[in-house]
Amino acid sequence: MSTPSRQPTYRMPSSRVGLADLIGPLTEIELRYAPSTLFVCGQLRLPIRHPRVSIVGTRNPSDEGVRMATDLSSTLARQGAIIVSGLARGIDTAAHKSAIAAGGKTVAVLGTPLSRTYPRENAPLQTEIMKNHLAVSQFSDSHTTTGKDFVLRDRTMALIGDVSIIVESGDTGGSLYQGWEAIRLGRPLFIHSQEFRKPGLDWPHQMAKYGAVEFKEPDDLLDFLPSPSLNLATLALGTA
Amino acid sequence: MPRLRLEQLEFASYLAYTPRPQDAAGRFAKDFTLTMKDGKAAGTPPTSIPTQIADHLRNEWASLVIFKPFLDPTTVLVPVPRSSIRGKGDLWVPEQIAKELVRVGLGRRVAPLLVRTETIPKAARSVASERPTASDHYRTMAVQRDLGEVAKITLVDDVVTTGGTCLGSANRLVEEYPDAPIRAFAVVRTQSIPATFQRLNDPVAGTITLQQNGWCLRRP
Repeated sequence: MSTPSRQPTYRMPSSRVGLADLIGPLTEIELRYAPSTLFVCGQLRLPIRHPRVSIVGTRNPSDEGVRMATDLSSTLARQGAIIVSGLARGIDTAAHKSAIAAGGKTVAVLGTPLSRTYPRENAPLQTEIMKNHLAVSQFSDSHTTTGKDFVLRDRTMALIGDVSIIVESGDTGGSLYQGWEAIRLGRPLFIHSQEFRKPGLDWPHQMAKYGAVEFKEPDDLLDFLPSPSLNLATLALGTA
Repeated sequence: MPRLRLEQLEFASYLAYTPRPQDAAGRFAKDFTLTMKDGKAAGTPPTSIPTQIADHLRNEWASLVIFKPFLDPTTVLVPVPRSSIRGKGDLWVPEQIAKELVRVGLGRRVAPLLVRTETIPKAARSVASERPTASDHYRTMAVQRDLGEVAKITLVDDVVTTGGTCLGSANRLVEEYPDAPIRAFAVVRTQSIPATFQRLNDPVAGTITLQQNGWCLRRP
């Protein structure tokens, strides 16, 4: 991993919040890998409204992977979903950019402090997200980034998303950490159908054994998305 | 395809939802159901959905006469297994519901007697033609007996769609507990046709019946 750029980004005041401020109350299972503190910068009101769809995948995608990430992100963003991704090269970048182009909202969950950018080429995208969307990091500005931070970030992304979608990944991709965490949390995890047909690729079949679901088109996900009006604070029997 | 000994099962459910809601009440019901399935806490103060459900059942018990054969202090509650193999510590909502029902006196004890031995497609995440049959569920489950007395069983599930999971589960249990009456209780029943959805709070009791084509028919 090359060093994250120190010179990125639009300097905006960031706030320090708890994860519950970001996504609402947490259960015991959710608390297991939840960061105690988050730093946020951007315009989205907290807690982030639903539905929150996390779209992730490889840094070196195929043309079909990019097409699917773009189609998913723009389709779901137009239907009111908040697109959550990790600002990485490849699928993540396609997901963020498509959501913005579709007039939707996006959340970048960084593996670096907010004051840095990785990869460097995404500094303009991070700036745009910090100005008009939301960037989130569990690392303070004084933190020195290591490879492990991206694994921690992947678990946090699974927590933030109402559903997680892996568009494309190799057998050792970082997205797999997010997939396994989504399974542990009992959240819907969707895997693009092309991944099940790639010779020698094991992870889709392993995750399917534990409940991941194959999807072909964005419409396949609609039944599993909560409505934009969902408010966990007022969701109780007898309040309908 | 294994021949199933039980071809009909009594079931009851407390709430209803539709996956493609058409109005605000339908959206609330769907949000409530998805929040339960995700194991999230909700309300103020934040309370798990299984806790909310058990407390409401207890409070409304006098008017829920149709549930009396399903939930009482003598019944052993058996959580229905997930459709996939479960990792240690993974969320298992039917078990949480069963524990909460016992807490409020609507079950004698929770007995996780059934385990999934092989993953099959999730009923709620499958198109109708690919939905697993009751036989598929039966074939991919096993019974783990425990040492406790089991005189009367109610299977507990979070959501019932056609009822194939419950009927497959009941057929596994009846092999080990042939003298115990077996019923099923689900918190929510799915109403696949949006226009048939009326309200979230919609208690019913009915039957799940095996059809000749292998699929189940749930009524209502």
